[in-house]
Amino acid sequence: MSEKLFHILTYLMVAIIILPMIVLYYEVGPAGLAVAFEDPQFLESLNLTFVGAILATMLNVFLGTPVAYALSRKIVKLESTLYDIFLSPVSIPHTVVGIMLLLTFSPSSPFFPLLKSINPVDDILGLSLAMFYVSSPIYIMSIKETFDKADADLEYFIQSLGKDRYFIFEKVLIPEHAGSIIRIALLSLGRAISEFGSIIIIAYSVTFLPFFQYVKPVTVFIWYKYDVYGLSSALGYAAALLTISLLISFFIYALSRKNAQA
Amino acid sequence: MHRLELKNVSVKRGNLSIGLFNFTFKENEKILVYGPNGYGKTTLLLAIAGIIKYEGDIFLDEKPVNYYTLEKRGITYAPAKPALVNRISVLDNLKISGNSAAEIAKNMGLKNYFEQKAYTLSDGLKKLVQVSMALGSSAPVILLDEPFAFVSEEKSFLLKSVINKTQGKIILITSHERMQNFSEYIDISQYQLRNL
Repeated sequence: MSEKLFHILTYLMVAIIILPMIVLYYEVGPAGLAVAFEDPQFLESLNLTFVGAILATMLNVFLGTPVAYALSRKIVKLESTLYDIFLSPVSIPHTVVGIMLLLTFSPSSPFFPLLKSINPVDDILGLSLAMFYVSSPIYIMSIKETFDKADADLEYFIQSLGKDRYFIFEKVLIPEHAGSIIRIALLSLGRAISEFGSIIIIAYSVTFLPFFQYVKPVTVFIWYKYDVYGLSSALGYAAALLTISLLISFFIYALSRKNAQA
Repeated sequence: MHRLELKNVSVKRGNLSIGLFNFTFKENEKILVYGPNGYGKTTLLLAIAGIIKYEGDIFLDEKPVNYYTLEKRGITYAPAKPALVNRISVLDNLKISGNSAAEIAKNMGLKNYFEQKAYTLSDGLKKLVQVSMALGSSAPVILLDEPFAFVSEEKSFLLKSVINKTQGKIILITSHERMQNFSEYIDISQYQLRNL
């Protein structure tokens, strides 16, 4: 009986996750999906979102990787307090994140004299910043876990050969864990792409190259279609974005499998 | 002339408590730390390397090294488990240590493996590369934890001869059995503080 219960609970959870996806694809159909992918406005939104998410992911990789190493090896003081701070965006509602970012760069901010040359509102900078803010906890947490599990003996050995921590970080940990870093970066990319709550406030409509026209990030674009034109107008775009998100998930899964086998 | 001095050194690690170690080792000496598993051979090496905490003082060339970080201590520690940077070549691993590591590895018949990625090697070959890196380092003190583990009999013979020929260093080796041709022997079972 007990084993059966685990099966039931597992399949129940799978059903909760998968059923809404099936219903969405059923409602849209292949033709609706094709129409969405042929809409230049949607493609532009997608393009903008990817640029913003890639910038946020790059920031995660270049900033988050050394920070995760510093936390993992207790190089910085109060590392557990710092770790809690880095994870805090997970529990902050994303609309609050948007408002906080908006306020930080506004003239009423005490930091305005320092930040006045930067205007992230309705800009790719604001979009990337919001995406970075909400995706960084996933990146830091996962990379730190990877570094925590790394071979301590190897690090002691290399260090005792006269090499400092930066050498170990750059020449030992990065090559040893490149696969995991790519997988976790993709995970944070996926999280950045799916962000809505904060970017609707700080980057509702972004001035975007090449023609400097206003483009909505893709999640805002779908919400706009739903809010202004109704559910049926948003369905195709929602299914298209779901397809992209699933492709990223499968890619991450494939990389994890490859990593586990290596 | 390098000197390594241990003055009233004792180490506590989990349930294990070992000491007091009072030794002076000189350049070109090869010291064997032997005894059964779980008696603290590795613990002693980890303490000398500065990886774990210990009581007492350790001096290298008459300078106290107690508060030196691992990379500045002048003591290389090669762990018992074969540990290499797996995703880079054997030669790139050897280069981490310095130019003489590649020469030592050649003397151990490893030249044919230089271009291979480290993860493709057997544990025995990895161990030989690791010992080559340790012996090729500029540190005056080399700690080799179970260097003959994983290594074939034929290669063990070669490894012993390379270690014996190494000059200008103080080398401490651990083994569960007493072996011949060492300058000094430390029977770790004689240093169990928990039994006192």
